[in-house]
Amino acid sequence: MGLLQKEVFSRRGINTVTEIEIVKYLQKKLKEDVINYSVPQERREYIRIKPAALIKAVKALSEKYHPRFMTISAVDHGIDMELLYHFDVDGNVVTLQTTFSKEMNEIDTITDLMRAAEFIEREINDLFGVKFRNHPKPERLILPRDWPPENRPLRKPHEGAIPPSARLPVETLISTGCLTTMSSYVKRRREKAGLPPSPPAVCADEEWLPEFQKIMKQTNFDKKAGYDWKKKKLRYR
Amino acid sequence: MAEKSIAKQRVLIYYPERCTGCKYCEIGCALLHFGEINLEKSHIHTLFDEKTNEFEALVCQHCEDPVCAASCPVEAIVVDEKTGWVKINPMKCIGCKTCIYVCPSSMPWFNRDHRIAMKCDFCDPVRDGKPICVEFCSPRALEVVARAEAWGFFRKRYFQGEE
Amino acid sequence: MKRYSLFLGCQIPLRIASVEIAARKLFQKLDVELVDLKGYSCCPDPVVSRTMDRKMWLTLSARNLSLAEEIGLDLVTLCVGCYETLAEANAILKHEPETKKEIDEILSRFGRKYEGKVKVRHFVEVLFEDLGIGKIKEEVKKPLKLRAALHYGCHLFRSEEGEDIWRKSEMMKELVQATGAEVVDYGIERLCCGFPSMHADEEFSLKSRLLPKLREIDRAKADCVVVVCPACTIQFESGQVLLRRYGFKYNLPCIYLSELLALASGIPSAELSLDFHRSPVLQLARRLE
Repeated sequence: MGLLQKEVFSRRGINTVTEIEIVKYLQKKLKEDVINYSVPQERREYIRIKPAALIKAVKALSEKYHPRFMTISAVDHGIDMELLYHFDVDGNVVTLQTTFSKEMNEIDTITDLMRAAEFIEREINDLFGVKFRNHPKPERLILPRDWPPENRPLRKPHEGAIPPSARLPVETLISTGCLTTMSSYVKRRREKAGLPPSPPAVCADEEWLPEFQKIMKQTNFDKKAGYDWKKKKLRYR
Repeated sequence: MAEKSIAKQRVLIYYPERCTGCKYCEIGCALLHFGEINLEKSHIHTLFDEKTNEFEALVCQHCEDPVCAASCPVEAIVVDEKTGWVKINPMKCIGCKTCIYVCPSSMPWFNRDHRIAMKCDFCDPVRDGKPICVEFCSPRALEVVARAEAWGFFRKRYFQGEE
Repeated sequence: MKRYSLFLGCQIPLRIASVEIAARKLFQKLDVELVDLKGYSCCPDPVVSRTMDRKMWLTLSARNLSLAEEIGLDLVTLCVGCYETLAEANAILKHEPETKKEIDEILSRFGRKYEGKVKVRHFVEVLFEDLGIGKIKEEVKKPLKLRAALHYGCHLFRSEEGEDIWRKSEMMKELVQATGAEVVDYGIERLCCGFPSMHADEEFSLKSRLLPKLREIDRAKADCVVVVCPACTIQFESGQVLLRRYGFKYNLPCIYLSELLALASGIPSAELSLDFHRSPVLQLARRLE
């Protein structure tokens, strides 16, 4: 912010808050609920938070500053849904980004804190099918009355990054460490042929598998591919 | 000054005597740009003729004076000043297909999902100008060379005796 | 005695184990020790993994290479796909020091490190260069009376920058000739078998890549086709079954180079479990004995 601008703003009584101040304040209040942040240009900051901490973040912002709620944007990433909450804090545009999985498909409403969110949340529900918990009036807003309820126009199919023909091999790779499964049939045939029942690979021995799976997690390939560790499957096959 | 920079521009050349027709270049290109294993969505194409046992490939030459850029009615095709690569701006393209008709090798193709024309962008900026078709080609039939070298290469191959 | 670390890969031990048996018995006869790598994972594959996530691809390859570096032996692979992945990753880690720093950081979290001392070789190179064609000819107890068509495969042409791409294919040809078999030329040796495009367009792959090969090999009156890649094996065997749907009936045996050499060196076909194959390789082997 230039010297002249700062002077003019302070004469008009506008508090000149810097971008990094807001970020540091939220980091102090939310601790590890803030995943990361970025300040791409002057008076513009993006803060990525966990979806469960949304209300806490908005409350924290309202306590210290006087944020003006602007709008909510929604981005459909195929297997995840991303919501961006835009606020105006003393001339800074602060965006809170949250991503949640489509299987969960719900997030808290901020209507009791910001009344203007009521309409935009109804619109997002109409177009994307996202549920807002505890919404005061969860009715249809912009879709025609006779529009079929299960058809959400802007909601994309539940598809991840891996192309269809490669899904089974990638799933087998992440869960076992090889592109083909080691079945008992294979073990029997190998034994009959005079070989050890399994090659000394990660897929055959429980001892080496944890290291392999940790590599998958640390290179973030499991998130990119959309792998569910509990079900041991890709989330969209 | 301009002559020198044209001669240094990086382009692709193709050696048909090394190609095996495996289509890894096409699969890699489609997978990188569209996330699908689909041969129709690739910017590069390889051909094999069963009758003559010949290999050939359609590779965008990123011409010095591109006809596609000259023919575009909305000026969506631009030649990048620094690198010299020819790119279609997907926001401006109206899908008239003029560039496909005027290109001598018909390199651009019409994408039915987006209803615009698309062409090879030399994997820039998605891979910082290192084409994925070159990395995937095992017999090294595709190479990235300076344009001056490519001129010599094509002169030897196609204009033997026609100095 | 020469010693190498053996990288088996996923496909050979889990789908066509006869190749592994033949390779182990053959190298035992040639007085070469193959040390197993404990805890190796998929190489990973040089197509989907390499495009989807380059960092994961390099990390897994570097981990496999570090296992070989721990025992201090050069790595030999049976599959050309594994050869391509591991050799390519090795070259990238050598020429791009910044990438190597990233990968080293991830590996160090597991107590592993890779310094780039391992050389990746394919078993064709090891047989031809390290042991020599003379030693192979010595081991051939009974020359095979066979007309063999060769299918090199695409990945066998992969070589370091500036090298002749026909280097390993010439080695393969001489190795087959050393067994006494007659190498039959059919004109389109260089053409791909069609395995990569099976995922993209099955009909194109079968009719425009596999079918011309089978037709020309049949016309040249070869008894079998010799391959060095498990993907080509799967394509030739399953592809012939699928082509019957389109009305083309072929029954060509598809034999791996290690199995051919094992048979030539006198190992009886009963010990090789050739019934892992889905083409009439066992019958062919019995006929040769």
